[in-house]
Amino acid sequence: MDWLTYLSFGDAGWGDELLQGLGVTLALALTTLPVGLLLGLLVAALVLFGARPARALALAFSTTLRGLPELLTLFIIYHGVGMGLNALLRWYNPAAGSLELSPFIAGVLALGLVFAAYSSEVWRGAWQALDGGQREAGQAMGLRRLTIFRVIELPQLLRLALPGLGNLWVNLLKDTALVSVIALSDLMRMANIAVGTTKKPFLFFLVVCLAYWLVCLLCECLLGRMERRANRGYRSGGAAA
Amino acid sequence: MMDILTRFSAQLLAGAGLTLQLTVIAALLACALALPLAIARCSERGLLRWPIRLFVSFFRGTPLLAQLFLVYYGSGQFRAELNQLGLWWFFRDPYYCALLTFVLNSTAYQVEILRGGLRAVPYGQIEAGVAMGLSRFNQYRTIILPNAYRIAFPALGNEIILLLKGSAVVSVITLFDVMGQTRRIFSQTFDLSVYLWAALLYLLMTSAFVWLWHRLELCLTRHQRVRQAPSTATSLASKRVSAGVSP
Amino acid sequence: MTASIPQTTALQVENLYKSFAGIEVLKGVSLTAEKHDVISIIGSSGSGKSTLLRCMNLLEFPDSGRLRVHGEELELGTNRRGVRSRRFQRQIERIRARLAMVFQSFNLWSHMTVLENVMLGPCLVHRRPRDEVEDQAKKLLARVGMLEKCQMYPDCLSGGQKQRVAIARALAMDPEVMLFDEPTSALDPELVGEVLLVIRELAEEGRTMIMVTHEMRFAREVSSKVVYLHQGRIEEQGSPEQLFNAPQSDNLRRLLASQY
Repeated sequence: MDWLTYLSFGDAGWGDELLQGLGVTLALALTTLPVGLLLGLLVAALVLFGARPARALALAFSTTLRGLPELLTLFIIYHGVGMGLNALLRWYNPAAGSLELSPFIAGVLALGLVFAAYSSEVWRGAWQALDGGQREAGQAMGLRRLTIFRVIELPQLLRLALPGLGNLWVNLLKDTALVSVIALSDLMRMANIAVGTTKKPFLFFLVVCLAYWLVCLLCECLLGRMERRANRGYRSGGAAA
Repeated sequence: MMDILTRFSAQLLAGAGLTLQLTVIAALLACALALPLAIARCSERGLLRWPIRLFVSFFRGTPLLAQLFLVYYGSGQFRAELNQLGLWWFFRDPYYCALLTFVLNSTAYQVEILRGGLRAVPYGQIEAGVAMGLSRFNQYRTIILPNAYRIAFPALGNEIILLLKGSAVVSVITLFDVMGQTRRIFSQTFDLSVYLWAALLYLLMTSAFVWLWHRLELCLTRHQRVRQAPSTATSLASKRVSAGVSP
Repeated sequence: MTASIPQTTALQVENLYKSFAGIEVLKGVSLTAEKHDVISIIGSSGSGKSTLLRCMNLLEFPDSGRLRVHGEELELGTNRRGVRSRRFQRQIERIRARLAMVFQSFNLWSHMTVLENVMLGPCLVHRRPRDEVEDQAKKLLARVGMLEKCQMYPDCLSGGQKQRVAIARALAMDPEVMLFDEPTSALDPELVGEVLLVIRELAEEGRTMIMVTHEMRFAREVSSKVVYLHQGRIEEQGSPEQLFNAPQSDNLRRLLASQY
């Protein structure tokens, strides 16, 4: 019973605060997702079809970010972009006060870059797995390059990339916990605060773990369904993963 | 930029030492644990199958940082009990807590990877051993495990790199690995370049590992590349049969 | 017949029944191989030929029936629970060690060289000293014409070469009976000959062999006995002359007509 009061809603318990934190966590992940997806697609396109320097740059971007700890990337962005902005601000207006980069934006930027680096590999693999003959069939019909991409390639890309992207999404969800270190009031940080006053670390961190676990399981379930849906009509596809 | 490096290189290198130490020890311990668990997970009559599934799912479905907090801070809630059991010295120390967390986490991932490897061993090759009357133990030792580890090898390398990068979270529980040293130096100097040196250090470690792992893989998969092994291998060949791949 | 087995019997199965998911594949098959017999099992696909062969060394477990190999007798299907017992498992391993099998898809171990493939069984199952095994393995590889490739890995070999290595691997076990499961079916036509040549030599030196095959002419030339399996039953058996020249059953006649 004791434990339940700690987790109850209202002034006595921490239930509502934790739930708020979970909301921030999910908001962070959901905001990051489109940024990372689009940037990743762009990087993949550059690697596959870009001019030589662009290709090298894109490859360097993806290998570098995949070789760095996410926590380090986060700190580099948080402090680096923050300092850069302030320098820019002072250059523009020397009298301006200093400005703090919000942890949320820093989190979106850092995790978005990481997601882009990883997802560019997934996109690239999917693109290479596409049957080139279908593109040619489109070209032979006089379709424009962008139209071919939109109506022929992208739908198939999504299907091929879905399992890999699903994996990355779960990783992204888990990585959001890192942003608590730069004081974003997400689930993890709320638990930290709760522990500070209640001195029940095991209880609260267990609840955090269970919450993440639940969200991840739900996502996996959902992704499995999406994959089955996407693979309708394909003979060899399906639940290979 | 360079003066940061000359002033603090000793600290950064010490941090790299701790990072590598944590990664290697945890990866090796996890490797030893993952093999029996993966086999038990795959066996058809497994009372252990469900607990192992649950274990794997939990550690793969929660953030490493949360796991670390659960072990390190969470154990504080049971300080009296742990003291009685004589285990408090272990859980009091952030180093041991980090190691324990990493071992559990990496074991979960490695079990899953090995399971994939075990399932991908061509059934005909196992059957050829069965038809010959090889005992279950010898089937595993000479046919199933060497094949499974070859198949799982690249994924295992990936997992170790993820562990190496993930180990940066120990800086949050006051350990001074590369990340911890970097944060300390930054708080003293507010010089952003220290982060770039840290990034370089991490890239160096990961790419060195990738290179090493790739060399190992070439050794292990020579049967897929080499047209003919050198004739001097005749005497070695006899040893290799029984050696298999040690985990 | 059940009372005393003559010393010359190498392998005997009695009344084998086997079904998969409710479909009966073998419906009471009995077959005896005397020493030096070369038995060919023929039949259209789906007749249960391969299943019969795989039941003989218990790669498939018959639902019921009896198996005798070199004085060991197994009553099958009565003790489903006993299958798991250690003693029973050892007995099965002993029996398998006496019956070498050559597979349709070769099933060579891809992570071992040709020589290692041949040496593994004798070393681990018979626990014979390594030097001796290596000498013997090299002799056997020379016999099948594969000695110069003994340091290669299976992935570098052609299908015919792989099957010759697989035969050497089977021979290295020094088996009472050799079982061949469609040894040439996975081979390109031009590679079939080299494998059949090796099998023919083995037949001529008096090896006891049981072989599932589609190569009718070959079966006719090397067999001492041919068994025609149809829908899980032995419909006809006898000498090759009997079966091929004067088939009694309509089904067999139809099968033979389709082959030539």
